[in-house]
Amino acid sequence: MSHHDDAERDLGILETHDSDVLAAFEGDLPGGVPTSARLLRRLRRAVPAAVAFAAVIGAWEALTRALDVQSFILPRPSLIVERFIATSGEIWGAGWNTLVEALGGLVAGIVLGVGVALATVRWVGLRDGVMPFAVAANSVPIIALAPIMNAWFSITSPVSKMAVVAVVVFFPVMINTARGLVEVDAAETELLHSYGASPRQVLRQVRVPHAFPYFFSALKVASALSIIAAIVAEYFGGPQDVLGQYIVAKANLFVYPDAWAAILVASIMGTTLYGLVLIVERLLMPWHVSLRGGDEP
Amino acid sequence: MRHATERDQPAAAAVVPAVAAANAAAADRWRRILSVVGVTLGLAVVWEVYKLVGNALDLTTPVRPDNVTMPHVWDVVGELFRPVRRGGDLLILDLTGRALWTLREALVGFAAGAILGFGLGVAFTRSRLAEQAFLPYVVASQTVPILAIAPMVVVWGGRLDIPQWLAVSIISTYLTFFPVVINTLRGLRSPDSTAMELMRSYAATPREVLWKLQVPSALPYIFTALKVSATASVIGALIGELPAGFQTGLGRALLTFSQQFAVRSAKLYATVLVSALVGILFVSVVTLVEHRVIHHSRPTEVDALAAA
Amino acid sequence: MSEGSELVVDAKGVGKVFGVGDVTVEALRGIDLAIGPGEFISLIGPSGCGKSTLLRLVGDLLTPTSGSVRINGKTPHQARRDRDYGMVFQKATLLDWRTVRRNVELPLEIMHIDQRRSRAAEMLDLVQLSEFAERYPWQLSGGMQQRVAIARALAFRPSLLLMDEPFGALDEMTREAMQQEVLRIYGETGITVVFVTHSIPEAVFLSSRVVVMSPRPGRISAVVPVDLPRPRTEDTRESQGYFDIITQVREALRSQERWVR
Repeated sequence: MSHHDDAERDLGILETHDSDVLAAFEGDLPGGVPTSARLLRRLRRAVPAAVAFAAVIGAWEALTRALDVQSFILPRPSLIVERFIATSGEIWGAGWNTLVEALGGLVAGIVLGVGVALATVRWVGLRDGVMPFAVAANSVPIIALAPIMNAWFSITSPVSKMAVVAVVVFFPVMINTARGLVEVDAAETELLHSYGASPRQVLRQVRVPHAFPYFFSALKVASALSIIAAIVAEYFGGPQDVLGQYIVAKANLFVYPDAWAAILVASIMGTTLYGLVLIVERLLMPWHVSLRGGDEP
Repeated sequence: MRHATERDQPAAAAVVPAVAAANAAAADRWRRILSVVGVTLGLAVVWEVYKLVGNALDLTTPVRPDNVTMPHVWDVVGELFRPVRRGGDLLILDLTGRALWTLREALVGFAAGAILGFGLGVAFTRSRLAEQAFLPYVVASQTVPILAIAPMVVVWGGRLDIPQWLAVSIISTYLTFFPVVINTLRGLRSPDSTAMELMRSYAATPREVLWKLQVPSALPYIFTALKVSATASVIGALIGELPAGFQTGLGRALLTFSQQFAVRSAKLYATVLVSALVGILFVSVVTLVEHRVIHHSRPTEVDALAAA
Repeated sequence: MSEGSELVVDAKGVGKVFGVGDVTVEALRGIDLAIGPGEFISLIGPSGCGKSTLLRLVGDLLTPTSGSVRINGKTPHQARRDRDYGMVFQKATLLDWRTVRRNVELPLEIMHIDQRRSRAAEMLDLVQLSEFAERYPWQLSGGMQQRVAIARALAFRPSLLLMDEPFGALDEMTREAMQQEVLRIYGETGITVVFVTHSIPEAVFLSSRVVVMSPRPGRISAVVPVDLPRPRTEDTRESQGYFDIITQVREALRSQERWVR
């Protein structure tokens, strides 16, 4: 039975009020909201997206076939999938090399970023001096460092690409983690001081847990960036069997379906990495994730 | 009188914070500029010290301190005032021209992406269905590494007879619109339910709610995204310029000078510096606009990276 | 006192159920409430008794699942369209990108009412905040912000003022001062007020009738008339009649607890 008239439909906010009230009362209900209901709700939310996906792919395929679009303008999805399977040895080989660069840089960037962030907690002077610089440096197109890294660490070595990824990853991780560590509620630090806690204990008990969401937020950005940064760094030159060079080579030969297949590999790797971060986040912070609502990307 | 005393206290208390806040903000800005300049100079000092010590101790890792791999800081700056090639313009003029070219690509892409992102954000707020259907794609679009497609985008543009710089702008647009959509959505949804109830009690139309409540609330979020997008636009422009055939722009200069590294490495370093300045300049302009538009409230921190 | 002429609020058999299917909560059941022009009604009760829900039903922010509500003889929807009520919430919810004056003008803009500036000035005068017209909300104390919220709620001259624990976030002294403010405005404008509160003394001090509600499901368990003379002053707070009525209300609230489900 619908309780809503058009007045309520004017502004969708009343939906939220309903669910707020419901949520407030939920505690009083015996057994709470059944999980099957929750699951069903989530599935129902995915339906429009799935439909849109099928529609887009379907339209793409149909249009390119119908208009007989040349494959160098926009290849058919079916053709891309074909090439994806046909060249899978090559592209996954190249993908692996790129992944190594990305992961190497990611790890280095994270270690450095967290390290510097922890240092800024300890030495306030460092924080005041370094943070504004880091924020400014974040607005620099760091990718411009790629040619320099190629010169420093030998263009053929994966280290040159890792270095670029590391710098790209370092800044968001450092800035965000530092914020999370430092911007703790005064009430919490005061509580621990009243127990006579040492700075290290305050760090462990209060600051680090507080910084976790910030850290993971940056990690999500960083994981996505790492693959792209590696590929783009590869554009500036280096060994051939990496995704960046593969894509450029295929594009220059106008063999686009192959290039798209390689991009598909990059997307898969990026999404998988992001997914891994989500899983690790959920494992390490079950209390936080369950508090959050549904629609966060 | 009770009312008089109750009034006077908050009155005095309200004026003092207002003045103090303005002063604090100005001091803060100077401190920030000082810090950036300070750290930059500090890095230059570290550079030279490393060269000195490295050369004395004959170090080869992590980086060789010789004058090719690590030219002196003053050599890099000096290089700007030498001709870019025999009989050519001064490097600084050449780079400025290229920077403007790259900046134009970035600006056009930025503007297009911002408008598109804002529009999508508003559309998603109005229609739950649209949001549920398309938001996942907006998110997924970012897993497609547009920068990886950059070479193709430019060649496509050529085939479709679009001027090259416009094709590059498309890359910047793509990189811009995502943070803007996400943050616009967040910002438009940020007013609490009480504010929405208030608007409803005035029988405000959805359009009035949008423009009088939601959009002004969203501005801080949108500007946070715009600052991220500014950098992304510049990166997009630089990368878009890399494919063969592009002669103007900073991206091409980076590639060319990196090939000339052994001959004159200072040119590459100078170009990297100019690229960095372009990025900083763009973000600073956005920040300036932000301060003009959002001058009323006290500074609220919106975590830029948490939004991405 | 209701004069038999049009009631401002007429609720009959009102019920509200939240949720759908097998997951429902009955927030209100069988509410009958009649409020005449110029009355000051307080709704009081423990958490979950539905007092805020009832206020929102009156204000057309929610629709009842059973029963009917009439505001000035109209449906709540129509009354809202006709701008019959002003609302004040616990959070002042002033728009912080607008000055105090422009905040008061907000409803006038949306309702396309002319002479906004002079009306806003009039209202700010009423709440005695004229000197702060060009300030921004963050420069005002909590109590002052609420006064602006009240000015805003009255700017378009509604016949009914709905207040949802407006002083809940304020300290005791400010609270008492604000209560005086509300009474003064009430006295000067003769507006009808429905006031939700947690505080028994506040309810008694302000109202002509105190409606006591009980939870699970929310219903009206008692209505306590407050026969104290107006205008009410600080002396009223120390009168015997005041304490007696407070006791009455307290007993009414306590007697609910003896009902075991």
